[in-house]
Amino acid sequence: MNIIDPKFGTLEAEEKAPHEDNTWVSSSCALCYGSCSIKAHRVDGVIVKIEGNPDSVVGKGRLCGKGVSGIMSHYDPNRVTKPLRRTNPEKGIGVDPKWKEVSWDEALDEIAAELVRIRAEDPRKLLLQRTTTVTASRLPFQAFAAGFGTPNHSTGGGGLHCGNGAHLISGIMHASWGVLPDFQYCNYAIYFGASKGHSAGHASTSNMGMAADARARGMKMVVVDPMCNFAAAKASEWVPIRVGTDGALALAMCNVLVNDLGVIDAPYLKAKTNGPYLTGPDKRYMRDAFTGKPLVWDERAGGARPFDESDPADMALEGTFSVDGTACRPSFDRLKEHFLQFTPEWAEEITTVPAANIRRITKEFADEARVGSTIVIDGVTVPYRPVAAIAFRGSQGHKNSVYNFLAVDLLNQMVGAADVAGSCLGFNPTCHGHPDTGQPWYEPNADPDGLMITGMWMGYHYPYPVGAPRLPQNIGLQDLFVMSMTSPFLDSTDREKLWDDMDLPYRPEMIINYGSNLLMSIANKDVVAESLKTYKMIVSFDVLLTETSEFADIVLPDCDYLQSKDSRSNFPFIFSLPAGMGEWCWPIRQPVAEPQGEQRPMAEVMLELADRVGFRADLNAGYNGAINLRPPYRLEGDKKYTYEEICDHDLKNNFGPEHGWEWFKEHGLIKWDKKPEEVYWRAFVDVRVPIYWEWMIDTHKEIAAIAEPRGLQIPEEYYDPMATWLPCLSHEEHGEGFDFYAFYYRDIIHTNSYTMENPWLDEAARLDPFSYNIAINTESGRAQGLADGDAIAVETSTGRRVEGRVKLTEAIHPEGLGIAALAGHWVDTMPIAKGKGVFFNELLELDYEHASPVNLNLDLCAKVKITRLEAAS
Amino acid sequence: MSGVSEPDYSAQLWYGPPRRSRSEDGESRPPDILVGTVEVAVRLFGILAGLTPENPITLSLPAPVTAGDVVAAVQEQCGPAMFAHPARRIGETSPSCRLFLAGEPIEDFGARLEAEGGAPLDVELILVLAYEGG
Repeated sequence: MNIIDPKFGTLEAEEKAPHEDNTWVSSSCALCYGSCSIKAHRVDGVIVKIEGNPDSVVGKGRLCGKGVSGIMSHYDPNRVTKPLRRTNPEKGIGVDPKWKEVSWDEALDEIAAELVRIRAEDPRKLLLQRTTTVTASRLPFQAFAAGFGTPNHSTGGGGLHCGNGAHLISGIMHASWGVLPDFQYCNYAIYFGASKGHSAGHASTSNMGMAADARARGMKMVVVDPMCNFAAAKASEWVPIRVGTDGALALAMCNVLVNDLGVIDAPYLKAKTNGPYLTGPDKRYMRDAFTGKPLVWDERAGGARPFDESDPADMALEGTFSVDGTACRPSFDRLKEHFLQFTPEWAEEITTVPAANIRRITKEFADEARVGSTIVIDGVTVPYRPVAAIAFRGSQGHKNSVYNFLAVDLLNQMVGAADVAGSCLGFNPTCHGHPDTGQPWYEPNADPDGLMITGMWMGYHYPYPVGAPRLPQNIGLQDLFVMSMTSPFLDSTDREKLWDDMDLPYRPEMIINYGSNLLMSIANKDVVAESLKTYKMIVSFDVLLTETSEFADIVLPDCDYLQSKDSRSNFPFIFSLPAGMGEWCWPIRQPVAEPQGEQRPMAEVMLELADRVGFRADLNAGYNGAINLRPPYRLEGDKKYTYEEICDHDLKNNFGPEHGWEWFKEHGLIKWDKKPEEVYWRAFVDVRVPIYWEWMIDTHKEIAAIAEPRGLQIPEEYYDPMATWLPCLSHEEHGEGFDFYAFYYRDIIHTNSYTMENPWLDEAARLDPFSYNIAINTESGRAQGLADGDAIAVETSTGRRVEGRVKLTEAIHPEGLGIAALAGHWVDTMPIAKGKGVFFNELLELDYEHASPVNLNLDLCAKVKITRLEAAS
Repeated sequence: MSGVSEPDYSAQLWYGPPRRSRSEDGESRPPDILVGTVEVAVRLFGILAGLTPENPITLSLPAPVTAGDVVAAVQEQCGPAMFAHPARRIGETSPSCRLFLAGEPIEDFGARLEAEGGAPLDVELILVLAYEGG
């Protein structure tokens, strides 16, 4: 076996036996945030192979093309190996920083001095940025942010595209970061702009196997998507849809389901949603004068009672009632009437999906739901609803982000297909802990209105209850837009104006970045570049010098995932764990190889920085707060723990004194069985979810009261308690020649912009006709005089422009223009990636107008016109 | 409207065990008896540490004291602007505010804080703030 290694030359591994070092190390991948468990084969200090770990639930022994190619990223000859200091004060795209190698001491001295100054002035002037690819980095960054005292901590450059809607609504409705079908029992799944089980990301390789088994078992899969790619290609049916109109389709389906077919799970709606809560003429809940609790109409008692003083079976879902002379209706009754406006014919106009298909698919969903049925799993009887409607980045990545996603989930809610066998599942929102310790333990609980608060989240910015809006103190304005997460205002064109208008009492002055390529990951590069130029200091932990590194003042050579340790391969640990029955699994990440040159792991460097600045006690408190360390494993005082010791505390805190870092180094992971009461928790936990978002009324008023006197209009239609259809800006753009809706999709071969530099993945992408080209419908393309391979320019009405080669295909909506992945690097320090593919984000505007005024999700589509530049070469 | 196959086997699972309303069971929670005050020593970390002239701060709060009471009193001293999402109503506080009593994390901000033998309460407070996706 010859191993060609670009750094160390050719090794003839088998001929060199016996080896002093010939080891398989259990660890975790980090080529995407799925963090699959791996076994890495090291021979004489060199990693020669990476495989999936069959002992782990996370990947179940499978590893995708990216994972097995990780070895090539690890040994990339362009890895940064020494701290670098910029000598050219001028910053700009393509401007040479004129790097000078410096010692770690010099670099950390300079960084610490700036941190000391900022912490004394106002710690909020520090912005911490992380990549999503290595999710475990969240822990050291979150603890550092908490200890230092800044609320400005973000991922993906504040333009993170995937989750402001998906995570918010999955959290509110399923107590989870996302949703997917219960592959083990689902018989009918509808995907709206999602690819769970067929692409990358959360529990990707585990889900791929489970989805394949489900399809083989006969699960029918309907994929609603502008493009027939990773999920749709394997589906029973592809439903081509106009970009960004998923919400309209879902609302029409709700109408057919509830009003035409009359299929609902009334007991579920009564007991597990706010459907029976009475609402008055102002659309607010009717509340009990004494307790303040929402009222329901108790049909047995013949009167209104607080929701928690009435048997759910007696609660009215429909009708008009009088409470103290005020006419009121259950919120479900309002919703049912609200749905009537969304006829299939109306939806056909908006979505291009034929009305007959909308009725047929809804009928199939209703029939397959088997409302009223139960199933016995491991001796436990649970409701059985073998249907799921799921959504993810595609459908929620629009200005109407919230309702587009919520409308899809209402299909599940109407038939009780939520977190029960066969249904739409959150992934692992309830965990009763390892049998030896009862940790980690979490379960959803109810707020005073009976509505669900998630038991576990990515940290402590819970999606519900929604906080009280205030004049912003955060640069992302998330404390004004209280239902938002990542924010475009970190870099947007209007950020300074917004900060001025909102009297933000400080300005950000320093960024510590961990692996994010902000220039590419947010929107058009020019806007982000102008933002980055305003910072007094940018420090970037990088494995490669990226487009964003060019704006850094100091680059710190980072260890990659094969050189690092984490007590959790993901943060939180369930992030990469498949849903459904099986086993809980907690894997670690541990070093397989030594650092190259002067590389150091980020987590250790952050500890040293805290010591140099002098806030170790605060940092320890940050760790205690971030991961709930309890005595005797909490971090004490200002004791100088190593990161390995912190990992050891985290593991023992959850699994007892016998299961510390040393135990995990040997075993790689710990597993225990899931229980039906955990997986299918919905019937066992006394919480309700809101099919009617009553709080939106007050939330809008409170935000508007702050923002509108300062010149920022908050459109009320986005804050109705009931999901509705609202178009994207692109749907209202009708300029001559602007015939296509440009969108991007995640390429299964790549993760963000990072893997573009991996030569094996680049080779795979070059063999794929879509990865680096622009997909256009064959008929639509030919109508424009295009042929396969033609070079075209794609332009927005604001003058944003990209160029690329055309791939004509039947597998895309006639109005769609699909661009894969996050490609189009331009720096010389990533020579494999440079010039490959199309940089879609260049077409995106970055401002309030192009973001959801509720959750700040960026509108990820653009109306474009195309111009043929030259024929195929 | 039903759409529900009869019998509806899952209804009993949704409804769960029969509940008794507060008025039916005739029980009511006894009112809290307010006796004296409770001394609370609060060590502040992170951004909160720089907002008061001394750290830890000592609070004297009317008994009984909940975690929410402590946070509200600290907000009073530090200024609510530093808290990501100020409480909308009593007992409802941002989970990003992490409170430890004698080293033990307190999740329920409505829970009564008690120390052994009536000793002063030893509380730590830090804000763990982050907005993100992934």
